[in-house]
Amino acid sequence: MNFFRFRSDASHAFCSGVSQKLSDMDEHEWDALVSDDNFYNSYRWLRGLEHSLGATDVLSVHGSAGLVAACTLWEGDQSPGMFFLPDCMAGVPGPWQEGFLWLGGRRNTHNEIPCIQGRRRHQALAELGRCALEYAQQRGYAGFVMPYMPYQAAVEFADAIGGAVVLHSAQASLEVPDTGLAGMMASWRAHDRNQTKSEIAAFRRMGSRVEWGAPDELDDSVTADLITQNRSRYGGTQNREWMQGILAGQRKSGVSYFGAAAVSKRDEDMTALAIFYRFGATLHLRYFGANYRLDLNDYRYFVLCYYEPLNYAAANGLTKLRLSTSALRAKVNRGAKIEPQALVVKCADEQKICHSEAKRHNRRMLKEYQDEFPGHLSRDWELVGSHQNPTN
Amino acid sequence: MSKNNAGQFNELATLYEDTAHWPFRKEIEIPSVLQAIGDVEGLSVLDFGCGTGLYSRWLKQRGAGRVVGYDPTKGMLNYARRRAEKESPGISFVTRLSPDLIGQFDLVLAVHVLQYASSGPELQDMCADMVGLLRPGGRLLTLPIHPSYDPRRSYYERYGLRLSADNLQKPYVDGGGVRIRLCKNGKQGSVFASYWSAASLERALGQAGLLSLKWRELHAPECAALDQAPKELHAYLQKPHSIIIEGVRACDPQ
Ligand SMILES: C[S@@+](CC[C@H](N)C(=O)[O-])C[C@H]1O[C@@H](n2cnc3c(N)ncnc32)[C@H](O)[C@@H]1O
Repeated sequence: MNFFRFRSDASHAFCSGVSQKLSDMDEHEWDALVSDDNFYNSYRWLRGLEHSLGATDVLSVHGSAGLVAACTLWEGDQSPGMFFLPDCMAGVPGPWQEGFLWLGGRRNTHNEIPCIQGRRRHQALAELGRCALEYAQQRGYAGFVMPYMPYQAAVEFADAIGGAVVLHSAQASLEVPDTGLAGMMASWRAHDRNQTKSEIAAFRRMGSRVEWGAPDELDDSVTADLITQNRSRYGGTQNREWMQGILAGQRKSGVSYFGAAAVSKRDEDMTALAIFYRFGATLHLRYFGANYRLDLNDYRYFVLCYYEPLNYAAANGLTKLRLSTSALRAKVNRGAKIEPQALVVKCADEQKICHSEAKRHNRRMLKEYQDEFPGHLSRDWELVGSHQNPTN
Repeated sequence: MSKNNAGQFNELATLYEDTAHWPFRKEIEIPSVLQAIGDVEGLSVLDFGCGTGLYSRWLKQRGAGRVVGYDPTKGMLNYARRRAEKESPGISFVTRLSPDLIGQFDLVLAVHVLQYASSGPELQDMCADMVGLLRPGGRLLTLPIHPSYDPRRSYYERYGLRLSADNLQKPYVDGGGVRIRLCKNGKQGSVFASYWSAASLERALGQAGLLSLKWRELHAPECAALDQAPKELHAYLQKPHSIIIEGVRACDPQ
């Protein structure tokens, strides 16, 4: 292990370091810092990425009894999209074309810093931030960012490191009733209920059915093909081999142990699939794939990604279904709440980010969501509102 | 119940889990406890102050039915959840005791927890919580600090454990402070605990409705007699820092 020590004037109790691969860290020690919602920063998920895409550096902070905070590092994407900083920061003036260090797993759409709980949490986050800035400066980055953080986690981290919080995305999620889909539908207006019933009926009328299984039992080349078909429909550029590599990495790291695949079939033909991960009390939707060569209008996306998983989650004692950051309108119409997601940014040169501009941007984004999704916003949006006062 | 003492464990999960491999626990405490518990097939069990959940996982793996781990320290419970979901799925871990758990369990296990009651009333409340979780006739097994542990800080050091009484002149006073330090392979952590005498423990458990109290000394179940145990364990076996107290919840609680 190449574990060198940074000087730490601020907190003598901690010792920070950088290692060149995640396997230098102990899996259980790492995961002890990972909360139920933070699946994409769990050890096996990150290790899967490492197997598929290569190792990245890892920042860690240790106390006398062991690891207290840590995260993996990467560089974001260099072309437009969800992980391209100028796109994430659209509307906020700043040096976003320069190179920034990214904290969290590669292409994660939900990030929290793995960190201890309790009295010294704030200090541990502060030390991780200090260490990240030092790392960034030594390598010529203009600063660092952690994107796609739940709003409260972002505020906490920014507070600890003296960074800025910039809203840039939103994520849909559903609280799972004990009675699954039936319970969810009972809480809806008649119009939405009827729409769901007719979508499920159409799915069945076309002769489609759903089977649940472990992703490991599926043929990776078929799974990768369906997922790639779907991604390329929405502008994705990676090919099937790339996706197959990701799945192979997941098998190797053991993260597929947490996986659950909902597969729709007509006769023996696989028409679509959705892959979820169980973690704590949450079911995380990660991939949808479909065979678009079969021209079916059977609502397989909604059946696999919303309706079926509600029943699956309820039957398995899971209380939350986390969906992705896209197509929020369709999700809201089917009972989802929208949670704000923010990016925390720390510039090496403090002058380069104007905090009042960031707040103005956040107020604008809050207003847009309030106008577009009234009644469907999670409670965190109220906090967003209360934090954006220019004098705060 | 005050959980003031629980927060001090937030950073200690990994170190604490590691102690399961240290000889005084691996060769003595854990086998003694498992032997005292006996067959758990189908039993509903609550692990009170479960920490990283090591006993919860073993009980589940040994065939226990419903297993609930309870610990107010989030840092400990996070470790417990993450590890159990990989190794022993089906355990539920909770940070508070909800009313629907009361009277539900065949067995309540509380290993190294009573010493974190820092006052007489807290000790009483903790015992009442433990016993209240049992169904009538259910069994409690708990391991406090041994009422006649050795209060000299060097005594257990060779085992990675340092117990030091705040007041070395009067170490056996109810509620007296005891600092417990764990130290191995360069990692260390310490917590504050309290000493409780045998009489106080018996009184608190009795008032909570526990009957047929039995005290069982820790031993090395693999060895028939002390002199057959590995030499390095002798000092611990002569004065173990903990002891098992066992009892049954009265059918008609007093
Ligand atoms: C020394 S650890 C023991 C963990 C576990 N029983 C074992 O033997 O591995 C003590 C645990 O008791 C918990 N604890 C402290 N005060 C408590 C209280 N008032 N009620 C329940 N648990 C408590 C702590 O959070 C800690 O996890």
